[in-house]
Amino acid sequence: MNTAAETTAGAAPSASATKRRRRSVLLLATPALVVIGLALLIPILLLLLQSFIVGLGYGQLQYSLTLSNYADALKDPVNRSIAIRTFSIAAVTASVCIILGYPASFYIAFRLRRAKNLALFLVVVSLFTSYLVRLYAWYTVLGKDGLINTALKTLHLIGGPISFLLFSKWAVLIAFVNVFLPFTILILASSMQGIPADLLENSRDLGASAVQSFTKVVLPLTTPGLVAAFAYTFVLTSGDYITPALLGGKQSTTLASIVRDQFVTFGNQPAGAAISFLMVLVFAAVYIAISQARRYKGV
Amino acid sequence: MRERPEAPSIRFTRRELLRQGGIAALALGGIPALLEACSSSSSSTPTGGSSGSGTADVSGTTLDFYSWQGYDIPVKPIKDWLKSNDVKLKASYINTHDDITAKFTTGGGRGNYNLSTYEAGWGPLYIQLGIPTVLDSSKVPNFEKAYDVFKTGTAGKWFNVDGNQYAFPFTGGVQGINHQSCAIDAPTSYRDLLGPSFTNKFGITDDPVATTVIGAYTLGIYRADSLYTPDQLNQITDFWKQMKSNARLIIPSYGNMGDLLASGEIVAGTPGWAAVNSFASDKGDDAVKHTVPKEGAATFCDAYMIPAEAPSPDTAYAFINEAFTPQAQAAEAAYLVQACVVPEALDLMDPATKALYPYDQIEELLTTTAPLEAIPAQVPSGYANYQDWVKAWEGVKAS
Amino acid sequence: MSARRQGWVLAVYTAFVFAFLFVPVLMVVLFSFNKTASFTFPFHGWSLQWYRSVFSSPDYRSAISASLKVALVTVAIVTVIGTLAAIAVTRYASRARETLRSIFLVPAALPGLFLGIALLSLFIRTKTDLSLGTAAVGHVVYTLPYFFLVASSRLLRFDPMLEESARDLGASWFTTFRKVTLPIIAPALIAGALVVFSLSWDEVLITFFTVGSQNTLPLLIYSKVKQASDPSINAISTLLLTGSLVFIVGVRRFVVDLRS
Repeated sequence: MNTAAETTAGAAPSASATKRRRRSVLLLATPALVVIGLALLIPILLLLLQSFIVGLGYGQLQYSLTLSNYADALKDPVNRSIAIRTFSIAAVTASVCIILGYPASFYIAFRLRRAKNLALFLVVVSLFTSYLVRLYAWYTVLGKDGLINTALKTLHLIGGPISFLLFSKWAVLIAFVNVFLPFTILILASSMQGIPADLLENSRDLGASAVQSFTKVVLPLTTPGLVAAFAYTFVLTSGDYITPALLGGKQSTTLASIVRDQFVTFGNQPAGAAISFLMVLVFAAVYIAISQARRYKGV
Repeated sequence: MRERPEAPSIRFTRRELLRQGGIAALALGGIPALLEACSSSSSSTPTGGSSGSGTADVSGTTLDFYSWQGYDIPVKPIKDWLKSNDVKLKASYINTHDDITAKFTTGGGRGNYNLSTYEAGWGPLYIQLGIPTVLDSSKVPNFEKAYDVFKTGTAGKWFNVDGNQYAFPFTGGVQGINHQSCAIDAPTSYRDLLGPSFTNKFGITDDPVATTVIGAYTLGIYRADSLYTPDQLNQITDFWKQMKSNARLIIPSYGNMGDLLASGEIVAGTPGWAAVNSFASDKGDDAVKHTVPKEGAATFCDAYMIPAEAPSPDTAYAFINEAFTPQAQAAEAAYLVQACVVPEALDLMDPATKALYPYDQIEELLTTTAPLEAIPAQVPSGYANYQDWVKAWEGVKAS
Repeated sequence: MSARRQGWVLAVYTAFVFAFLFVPVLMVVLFSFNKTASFTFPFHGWSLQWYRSVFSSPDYRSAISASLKVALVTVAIVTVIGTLAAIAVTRYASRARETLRSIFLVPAALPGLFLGIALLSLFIRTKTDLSLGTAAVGHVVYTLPYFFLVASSRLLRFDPMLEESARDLGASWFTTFRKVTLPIIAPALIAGALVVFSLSWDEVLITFFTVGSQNTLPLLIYSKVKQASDPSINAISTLLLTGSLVFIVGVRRFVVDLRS
């Protein structure tokens, strides 16, 4: 974190002038705060309050306090099995993204010079095609007459088409990784860019092996990026019901589709709100857990 | 115990067609004139339709439509009408019927749309929730041309309650099994799909209503009032869990089913819909067919409604009135691959479309043998309601 | 393993990663030219029919104009309030800084579904009519963190001595900002604006819940994907991709630094 700005702001001639400048600078944040306050914090509060009243379906509410929304959500075995399914796919996706993305980010951040910006630019470009249309493209790649099966057949590596590529957990995983790998690479590369390039050389000069340099120097310094990339992928994957619905086959229902059903099919906002906040609790727990990893891996 | 209904017969003879009053005269000499009138760009109905009376001037207004893709019937008679009346059609399409419920209760749809639909079984709940407005039948005189069963008969009761007309039924159909006729013969029973020849080769559409009804038919416990005990619902759920374990996937939508059948990822799909055949042939596959197995099929009938707080309802009235002209009905039946409700339209259809549904028996079918199913929104205690159906279906999807 | 060999392995690996990232994009572009309506191989030959159907379809045209309106409004609002917020956080030295920063980054930590249903609940309670405007509100909240990240990271690397010098020479705070700070951080702000634009353009989950009767392009594509789709959705995607590329390459002369 750059502390130059901090020292500059504090280097004003008089204390009251500093205070005045601080206050007026703070005012600049007001519009954004107002927007976030009105359009995010208040709605979330509203939703939280709603999760404690009774929903009668089709938008009808009964204003009596209850914990039944949470209790029912937790007791329902269907919710539990779908929650396990949802969060395990999210965790696997996030892990795969990090494992696949780290070497690529490393290469881009440390080994490329003039091509670095171009590489990062290409990563961003891969996101410029509509998410939904890219989903449909997986039919083209993974289907019975898709790219992979056609290629394998032409090379005479298989007799009949591989059918588990599509409409399975694999298809969902591949599609999710394809969407979130670019974000992961960008986050990791950005955290790596904070590391001075000669740090690695210095550690080698001091006698550390390549592996040691990596695990004791680079890896700990990039754990904030790892945590951020994992958390981001985990949260957004858990909340996505479109990809599993189109590619998941028999495993097409997720927690997000249950929330959506509560809001749309049942018109029971309190129940939907309760499940949503339980999901947020899981997100918070996951984030806290992986942030702890930072401490133990650190130097 | 209600008799198990026969699957609708699709035998159809010209003689029986001529029994419908008035058609004989048209058949003898009027067809060329009718065809001429069909393709003209004038908006008046040549068979003496009284659309000119009592309809307000709607030029320059917008039709804000919210319902199934296709129910805005983009066929020539309607398109011509829109153009000559200078009415703009803005359509938003739904994915499930619940989208309509949600949109007009909690989804902020009131005041935004002036035309929507609902399926017969949803009538009682929708009326109770205040979703459809009471309609002025004098503004839709063409509805008089419909079969009696849709006006005053058993089908009509879903739309006309206590003398109030809440919606005008304009189409209907059945839901059985779609299959790839190049690859397999038509399945004769839903239980065929449990066999090894279908393992990992068929799909189940994500439709809690149709699956419950079909499940009830297969287990022989079907009732048109849709009152099933929780125990019976469990039996239906178990049946679908069995089906799912042999299936390849849960199909998100009927449109998707067309893609999947055409691309060969599946050879069959249920619950089905005749329109899927058209979706597949749009993809170049003309061999997808719809069949009704011996146990029966879910039936549906959709009607146009004007939602509460609709802007410019007169535009909606004018459109609905136009939709009941025989030309529009005939074109709609061909486009949607569904049944139409106006007998005069039959003579304007090509034989293939006409043969899809047993129009000669339609009154009898909807009255006794295959009446439209209810949606169990409110049920006496001891029976499963719609929310139980959806929960049970979610259990199937989670299994 | 020698450093050279290591570098070579990493290079090949990264190339494979890029190939994986672009496979669906290539399929989308390829099948936008398909002669038939199918999405699977064999590829039946080249045709521009889907492009023609996109341009001739009133559905697409109104959806594109709706998406454009929402995206431009979102970019305008987010650029202004996001820049101000970034300045406030990077120049305001105190413990509150981290809290403010977290507040501005929170929307990125929530799934679109959650944001959408929260906003819908608010609109229902306040009896606000749903429209493109309410959808834009959702887009502003959703994209603010991303712009904030880009802008604040650029401001952090900005040498404050430049501002100090200008002020020492007697320039007011506002003049300093206008003549010194803004020109230098402008490329990053443009990059941020582009990010906001493309995020808003592609957003479907929040929009689904907050929009009125007018479809945006992603909602139209979503309804087509769920009904019966044809490669016109590929055509429109390819057009957008090409448009974005052309636009960005044109702007790149401003040395858009994507390091965030």
